[in-house]
Amino acid sequence: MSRARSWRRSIPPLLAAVLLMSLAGTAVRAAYPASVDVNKTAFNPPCDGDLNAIVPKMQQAAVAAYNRLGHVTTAFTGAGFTRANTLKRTITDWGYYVHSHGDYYWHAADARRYTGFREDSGDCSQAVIYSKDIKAKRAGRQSNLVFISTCHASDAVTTMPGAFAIAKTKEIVGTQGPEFYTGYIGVQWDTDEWIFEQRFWNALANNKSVGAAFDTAMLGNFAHAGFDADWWGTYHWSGRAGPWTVCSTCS
Amino acid sequence: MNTTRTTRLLLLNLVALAILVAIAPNTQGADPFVAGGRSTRAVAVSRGQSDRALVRAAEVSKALGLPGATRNVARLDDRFEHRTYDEVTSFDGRGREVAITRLDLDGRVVMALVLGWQRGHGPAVNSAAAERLAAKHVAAAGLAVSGKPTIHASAGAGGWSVTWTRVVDGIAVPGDGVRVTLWSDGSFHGLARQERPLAAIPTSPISDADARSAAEAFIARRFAGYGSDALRLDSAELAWLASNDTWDAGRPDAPEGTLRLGWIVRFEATGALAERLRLVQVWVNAADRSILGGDVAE
Repeated sequence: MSRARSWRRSIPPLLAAVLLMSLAGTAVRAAYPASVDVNKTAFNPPCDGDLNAIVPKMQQAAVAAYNRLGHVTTAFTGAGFTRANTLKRTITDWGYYVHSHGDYYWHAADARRYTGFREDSGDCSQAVIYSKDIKAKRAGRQSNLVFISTCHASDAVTTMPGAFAIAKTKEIVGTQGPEFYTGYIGVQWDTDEWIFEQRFWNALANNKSVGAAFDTAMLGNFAHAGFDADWWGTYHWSGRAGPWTVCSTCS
Repeated sequence: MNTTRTTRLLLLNLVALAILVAIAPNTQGADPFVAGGRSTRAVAVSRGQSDRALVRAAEVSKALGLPGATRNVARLDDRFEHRTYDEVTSFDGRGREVAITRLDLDGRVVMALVLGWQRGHGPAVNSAAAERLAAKHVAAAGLAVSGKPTIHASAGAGGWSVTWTRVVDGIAVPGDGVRVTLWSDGSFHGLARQERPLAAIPTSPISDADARSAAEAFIARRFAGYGSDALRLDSAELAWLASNDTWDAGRPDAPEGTLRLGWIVRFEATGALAERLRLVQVWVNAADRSILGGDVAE
């Protein structure tokens, strides 16, 4: 048998192997969905008079980052990012990113405040999604990486980590599990948030742990000296989707 | 075609493919950053350059007390920050990453960071002590700062954040300068230095009044659907600015690498608009009243 013929014979099994590997990868990834909710409407016409180019960039960066971490990531905005849709999806989400207007909102029925953020809904009347709403839907289910890209998401009083069953503790080793929550303290500017997020995603892409990625992001060239963010979860965790994965070189 | 020729062609194709893959990181270095992509890509570093970076990183580690038994180096082209630096990663005896040092190609510190989380081994320090200790760490890193820093307690930084903003001829350069993070007991956590190139100063910069007028016209046009007082002019300040795409999606996804002189004109939202948008900045080019970019706090 000639060598060329031998090559040709090996092509079908090679193709089959590649196909099987890609299918296997899809099957694994499908188990860990992530949602990226981005409120474009509030910061674009008709609600604002102008296009805000930073928000779509944040969405693109977050989708790519969650995909790199092994999630099957879907982005929602406009009428796709409503309170009802978010609460429906959160039941099965392992990862979650949101960029919107956030605050420590008063909840009249409960006569107390909860951390929350506004839906997009495609119009200028945007309901608040309170942490208590998410908490009720998730019912203590484990989360992976949760990035609440809103003002006040990581204030000391924040109630949002608990909605994702992430305790407000900082662990070096794995006692807290493969989970990490991050967000901003107080009111922050979009350009600083964009710098923080790109540095964070890039460090994760370069196989840094979530904690190391946060620390690297915190040393960005922020235009406002008062920039601040905080985190809770497991510093050493690789950020990979799903239950524990080992990162042998992570700090 | 005989088998020998087929094999040769196949090998040639494989070699060509290998060359393409090998040079790809360098050829793409000039490409602009695009959102969703990585900021950094590894570029070739010679043995001599690598050795110099490792020696310098060892000096910096000793000066700042960074941990690490062994180190490796990668030269990174950072398209988001428009600079190339050597990133030296330090490992403990078990091979875990414990510190990162980034060095400019001339050996100056770009970033130094102790990895991991600690609550501090001693009693918490106050703001004055944090300022003094941060200045000491800056000097140890071989850097110079002047003026009064901005200090704030920062849970995310581990204790304190101390920032010296760069000032050139009395004009602030927001984002440039030195930022130090300290653990609550004042010990070193991290440090970053940024010093971007500045464009030429305009021969006859526009006045404060001109800048306010240009910004108000811009806001009136862009937010025409709101009342005249929905965005209230708050202040105008001259600064060196990195042009961005806040008001123009056609501009690059990363802030511009060279800074230009401009006015930061700040507006505060009121009424219904404030429920979605808290603050707005319009950056007016001091040379020609054009819009360099801006910022929003949602």
